Amino acid sequence: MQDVYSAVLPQAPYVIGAYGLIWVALLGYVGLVFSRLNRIEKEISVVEAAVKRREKSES
Amino acid sequence: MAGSSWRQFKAILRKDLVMELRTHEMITSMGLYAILTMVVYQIALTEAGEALDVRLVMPGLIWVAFIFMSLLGLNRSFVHEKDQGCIDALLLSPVDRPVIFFAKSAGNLLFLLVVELLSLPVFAFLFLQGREGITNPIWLLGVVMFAASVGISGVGTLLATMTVNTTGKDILLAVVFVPLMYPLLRAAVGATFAAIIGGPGSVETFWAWMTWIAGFDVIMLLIAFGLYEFVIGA
Amino acid sequence: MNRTKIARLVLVLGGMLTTAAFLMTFFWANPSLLPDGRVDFSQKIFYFHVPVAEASFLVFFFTALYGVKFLLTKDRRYDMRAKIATEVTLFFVLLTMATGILWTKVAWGVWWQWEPRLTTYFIMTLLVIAYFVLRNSVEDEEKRAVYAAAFGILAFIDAPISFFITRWAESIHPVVLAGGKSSGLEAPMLITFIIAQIGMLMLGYAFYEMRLHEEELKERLEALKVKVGG
Repeated sequence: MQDVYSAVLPQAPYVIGAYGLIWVALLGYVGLVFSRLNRIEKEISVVEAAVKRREKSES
Repeated sequence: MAGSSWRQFKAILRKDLVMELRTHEMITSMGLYAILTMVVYQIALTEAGEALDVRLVMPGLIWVAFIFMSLLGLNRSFVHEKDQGCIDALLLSPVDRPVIFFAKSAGNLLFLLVVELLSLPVFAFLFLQGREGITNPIWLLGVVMFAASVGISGVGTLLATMTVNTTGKDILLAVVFVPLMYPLLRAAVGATFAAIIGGPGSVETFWAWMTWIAGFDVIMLLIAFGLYEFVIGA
Repeated sequence: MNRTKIARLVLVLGGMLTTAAFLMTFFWANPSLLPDGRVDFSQKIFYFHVPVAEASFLVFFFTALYGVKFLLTKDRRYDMRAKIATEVTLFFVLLTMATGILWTKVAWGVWWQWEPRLTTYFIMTLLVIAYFVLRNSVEDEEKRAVYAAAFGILAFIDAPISFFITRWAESIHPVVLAGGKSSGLEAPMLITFIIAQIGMLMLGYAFYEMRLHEEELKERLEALKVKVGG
């Protein structure tokens, strides 16, 4: 039994590395895009408010 | 219509040839470039000395030289067109766009073939003296060179038309051109190897690689031809 | 329900499926065995390496498709879609490369081998990078779109070559999904793989839509700023 699993330990760092990388990359990508989306949405609401104020003061 | 297209084709091709005959710019710069490449090869191979059979790496070496040589030529041929406003004039004239593509490709193919034919004997003279000769018929080599050069100049003409309008011109041409050419180059090196090294079954191997080259040529040229109108109109 | 909401739903579903596949990989899928009968742990990389690779080919197809659509319509939105599809392709390609290299080190003993599949895939990576280099060096917007579309179409040719090369040429890269008897996947392995694959494709779609949404918002912001400025 011990013998059957003897290849697992030396291979483990590579498998863990591959899975770790995939998960960090996928989560990082989602996080990055969402944080950028939030920032843009905030900026849009600020600018939109400015547009409204301007329209009010003009009318 | 077909007759006028043929006339337009000849006119554009003649323009390139006349300019080349006057300035000798393309052939000279491409030829010199080929010889410089060989000097660099000498540096690369020098420590290996006699232990290395140059014939084994020769197919790769000559195609490396040809691909970089063609990059130089392609870039040149469009820098002229652009600097002298030639492309704009061509576009204003009632020339069919496909004709421009075929004429420019034919011109580039011609220059490339001339320099290839000139540099091969120089390569053999510098590197292959005292080595075994080529057993397969030498025209096989001509077949690969022609077929691969058709693909190189066809796709290269399309890409050079694009990159001449960019900020990084020659570097950018290499960046987009070399990876696109990979399948063709791989097959060309395989076919050249089969033609030069010979041995049993080498002629079959040669034609197997040639079908790859032919397939690449047909597919890529059709696509390049289809895309050219959009690219040159932009 | 609008596109953005669907995309977020798909993102959550894709995340759930890939997480499920991740757990199944280690706790359910039966282990693959080395020729000497020992457990081949490195085979576990397969369950994510292959789905990401297949996804990269598929998303790259959209670069070419939207390239064609752009050239036919000259509609800028298709250019943006092609660009975003290529961006997602680049992301997947890099992940495929990274996981592949780790597996190669275990299975072949070296990090890299100039082997037909690896070589053609490496070329595809270069083409995807070249796509962005090309975009960045064209200043005129219309030209940039046309050139990128043309190059995207040409570059995509390498994807089928890379995909089928293991069947055409002598390659030491495993062909697991060849179909028929040689496919060599037992049911739990196959199911795990399929779930990972579906999840990854969903993630690819969601990434694409999210990025598209971001670009559209950016454009709206620019338009608003012009309004405020003028």
